[in-house]
Amino acid sequence: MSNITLNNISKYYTKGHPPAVDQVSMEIQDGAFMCVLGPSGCGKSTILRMIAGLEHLTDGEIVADGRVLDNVAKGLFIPAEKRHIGLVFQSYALWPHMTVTRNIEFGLRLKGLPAHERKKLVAEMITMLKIEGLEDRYPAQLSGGQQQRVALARTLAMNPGILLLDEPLSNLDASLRLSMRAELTRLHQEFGTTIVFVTHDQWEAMTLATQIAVMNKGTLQQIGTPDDIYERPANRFVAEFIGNPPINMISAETKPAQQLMQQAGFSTSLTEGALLGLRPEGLLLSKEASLSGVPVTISDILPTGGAWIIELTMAQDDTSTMPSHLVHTTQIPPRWQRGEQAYLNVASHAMHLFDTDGKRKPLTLTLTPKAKTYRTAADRISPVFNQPKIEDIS
Amino acid sequence: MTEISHSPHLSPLQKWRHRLVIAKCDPTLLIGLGLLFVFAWLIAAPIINILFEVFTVQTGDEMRTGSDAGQMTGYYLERVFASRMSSIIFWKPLWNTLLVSITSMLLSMVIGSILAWLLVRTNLMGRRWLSTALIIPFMLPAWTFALAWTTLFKNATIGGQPGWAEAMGYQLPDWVSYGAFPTIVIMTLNYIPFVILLVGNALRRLDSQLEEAGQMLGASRGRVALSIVFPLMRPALMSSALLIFADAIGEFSVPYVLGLPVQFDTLATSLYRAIGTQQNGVAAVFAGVILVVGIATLALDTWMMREARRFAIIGSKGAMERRQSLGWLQWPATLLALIMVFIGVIAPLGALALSTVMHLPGRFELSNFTLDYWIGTNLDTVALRNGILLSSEFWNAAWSSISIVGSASICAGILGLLTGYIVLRSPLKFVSVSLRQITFFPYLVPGIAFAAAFLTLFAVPHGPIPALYGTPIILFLALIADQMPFASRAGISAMTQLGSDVEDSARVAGAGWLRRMFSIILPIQRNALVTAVLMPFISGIKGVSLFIILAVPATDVLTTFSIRLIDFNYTQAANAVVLMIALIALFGTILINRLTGTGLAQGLES
Ligand SMILES: Nc1ncnc2c1ncn2[C@@H]1O[C@H](COP(=O)(O)OP(=O)(O)OP(=O)(O)O)[C@@H](O)[C@H]1O
Ligand SMILES: [Mg+2]
Repeated sequence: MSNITLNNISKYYTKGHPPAVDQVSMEIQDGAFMCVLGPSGCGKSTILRMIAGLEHLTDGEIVADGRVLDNVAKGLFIPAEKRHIGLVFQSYALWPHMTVTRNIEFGLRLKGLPAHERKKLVAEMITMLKIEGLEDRYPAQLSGGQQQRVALARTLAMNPGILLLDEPLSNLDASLRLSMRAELTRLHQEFGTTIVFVTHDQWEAMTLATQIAVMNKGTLQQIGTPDDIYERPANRFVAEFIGNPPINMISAETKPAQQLMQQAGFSTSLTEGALLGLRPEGLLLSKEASLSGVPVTISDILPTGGAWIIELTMAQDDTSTMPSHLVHTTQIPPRWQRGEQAYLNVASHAMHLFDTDGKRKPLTLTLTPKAKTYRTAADRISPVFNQPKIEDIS
Repeated sequence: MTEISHSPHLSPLQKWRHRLVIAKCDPTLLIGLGLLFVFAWLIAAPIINILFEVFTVQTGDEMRTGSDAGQMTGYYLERVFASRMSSIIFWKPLWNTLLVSITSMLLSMVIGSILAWLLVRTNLMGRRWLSTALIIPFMLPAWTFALAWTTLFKNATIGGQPGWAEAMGYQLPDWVSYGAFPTIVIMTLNYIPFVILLVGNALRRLDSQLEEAGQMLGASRGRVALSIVFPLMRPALMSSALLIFADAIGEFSVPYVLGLPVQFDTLATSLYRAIGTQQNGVAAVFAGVILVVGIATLALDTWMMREARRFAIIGSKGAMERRQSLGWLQWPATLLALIMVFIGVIAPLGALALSTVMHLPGRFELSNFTLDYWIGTNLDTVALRNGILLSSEFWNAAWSSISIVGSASICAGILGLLTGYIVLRSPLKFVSVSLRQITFFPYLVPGIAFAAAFLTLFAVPHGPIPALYGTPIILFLALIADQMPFASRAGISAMTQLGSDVEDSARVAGAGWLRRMFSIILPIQRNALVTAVLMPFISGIKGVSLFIILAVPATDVLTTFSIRLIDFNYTQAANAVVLMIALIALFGTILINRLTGTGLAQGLES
């Protein structure tokens, strides 16, 4: 029910140190489920705290629903207690001296709600978040997952237009994570609340968010849908941060790299120092040299339960300074032996080219008859990967 | 990369306006500045003022100095340091002070360290029970023991009832009964528990594997002690020694009780006498000297502690607690500890308690026992014709003690917690740093010098503040200021543990500052607050220095009441009052231990 706009916001905690947040702009639409994703210390929590009003900006502006929350140039600031934005803390921050009920009730009391309404709302929240029977316990008597749900209940009871969640699933075990994840999705759909949540876990981000903002060292790297982020990473950082196991990076100037691009149907005019990223799951191995794949040696096969990681070594190219090791993942039981020779092709959409400065460089299709043959061949091997990317064709 | 280079479009004016707007939303800064102002007035002003007094002609000294009151003068310095009288009024007391402080410091360090080692590192029999018994003196006022000494060993040099020894027919020379010797003994006994606590804690943290590693390499036990344990313990030992020395030079009550009959003066008692005889300029010089020595000692300690941090890694978390077997030394060691318990606790407290139920000292006949001094009526004394529990003077004094010390402690506790809050939350670093330092400052200043400083500032009206001497307010303010180090430390450590998230989450829920204080911070910090109130309360109840200078008969408290009883030779009644004070202090300490769940030792160090 609310939208938030961040205009070039920056935060310097200590003068002379690099900024925790550096000129970040984003538009969070009404009803969005936005995820801020990035490695530890990249400024995710800081962004949430600035939206909530617990930290002030060093520069820039935050607007929510047309209300300026913080603007340095104009000297405007609304304190946290008057913003009515919900925030669930990374540490939950339950009040240790209050029971679960009192924790949930606290904000409602401040709102001045009469007792019977408070009671009704609290009961509702307790049922919704499945914490029945814990009403009279103190936070110290709750497990991590229960504490988290109390923290959520406490925030949701206030029915905030904007809900901020700081690593909401990080302290939970695998099964609780799944159920909480489902809970969050349901909440989002039911209440239409604008949610901004922070995580360093790409799985969480990809599965929950409608929009992902990837951050690194205080700067915004890319903002887009989960598909955008994965299929069209804006730069080398995003490509390497998203994906598990991480994307293979090889020098684009080496002979094998050139060969792989050609087979995928891309033109190969290159700038110096460019890098070619190959998603592990887009690698295709075959026994025959007929598809003129790049010869590789299978150096190791690691089962990961229903999937396999296959490590490959490329024949060393003397122009290459990059490692000639590649990682490939597959769900199909591998029919390879360690030390065996194979030929490598890569599906076109699993291939990403990055400039010297790390920026994404669109690969251009050369629809020569020869390339067409390669594409068809590659796609025959892996029919799943056969849709060319829109961006690449245009 | 500075802030400016990244937002070139923002003028400094804009930034300041933004900050001002933010500061207006949150009273933290304002309260911080308020606290800073209060402490500047209560702590910094008196001390700066007394240093000025040293160089200022006092009223009444116009003739002697040949200039008007208020003028600059070097008269007092000269009189104290370089006049015909100097050796009597300054150098002798200085010598006495140093003699008493250094000797008792060394003795308590040696005995205390041995006991600490026995308790922490060996399989001494009954060590758990002993470690409690041995630190009891720490909870009691030092002059309890001085009184016990006079009860036992007073001779006929001064009037009043003789001590038990004389009553039993032993003639005691003056040097046993009064002066340097008993003062050193009593102060040593008083500091031993302090050494046991500090050194014991350090020993506990010292990884016994380090010792064992030395032994494995073939070093003898003595060798290990000398070349491994001692160097590692040196910071803790030095620190204890300096803290004791700094405390000892300002000690007033013990030399007052034991030194007076033979004109044995220390700096603290000289200061008291100078104030008593209206020599304010000279008093200021004494106070200044005590102050400078105290500050220098503790500055040295702070500096050395910073150096010692380099050793901090030594005490690893997984330090094994392994005890050395005492072997044939078991019996002598146990005996030593028991003797210390007897000398330090049983004998003095027993003597005091017995003396209050005996007409004549040292005569153990049934007819000699009485409860008159507690609950008797119509006694044949000049004043105090009832037992203390039935005398209104006692109850008045007790009530003043509890109300003045109590209200001051409550204020100190709240100010301490508030200081902790501001120190951790202030948006301006300078506010938190200066608050932390100024509240710690009275710790560096011996109580008697601080009291003198307070007297010089508040005895005369200043601006809107009337002269406060003779009112309970001056005691109240002095107590608050004097106790701030403990209160603010308790507050800072409590707030450090709390973290800011619980408060932030209340902000997000819509709670303003006052609401957060009363609904979140104070309830969570309830125990810390109680500690921050009780610690000052105990040390205030048993303290002498502040009251002896600042109290007048109208504001009689338990300590001054009992000292007056001593001066009038009502030994039994005085002892009874002191026992009551000891009881309150003991009870309060036990309460703190219960509440915080931590031993005294941790409380001392934090
Ligand atoms: N109060 C503070 N004072 C000074 N520096 C801070 C403060 N809070 C955060 N920082 C710094 O700002 C940077 C960003 O911190 P932030 O907490 O936003 O990271 P994060 O992305 O949430 O990391 P994590 O995933 O570990 O929670 C870090 O380098 C951190 O050290
Ligand atoms: Mg964080």
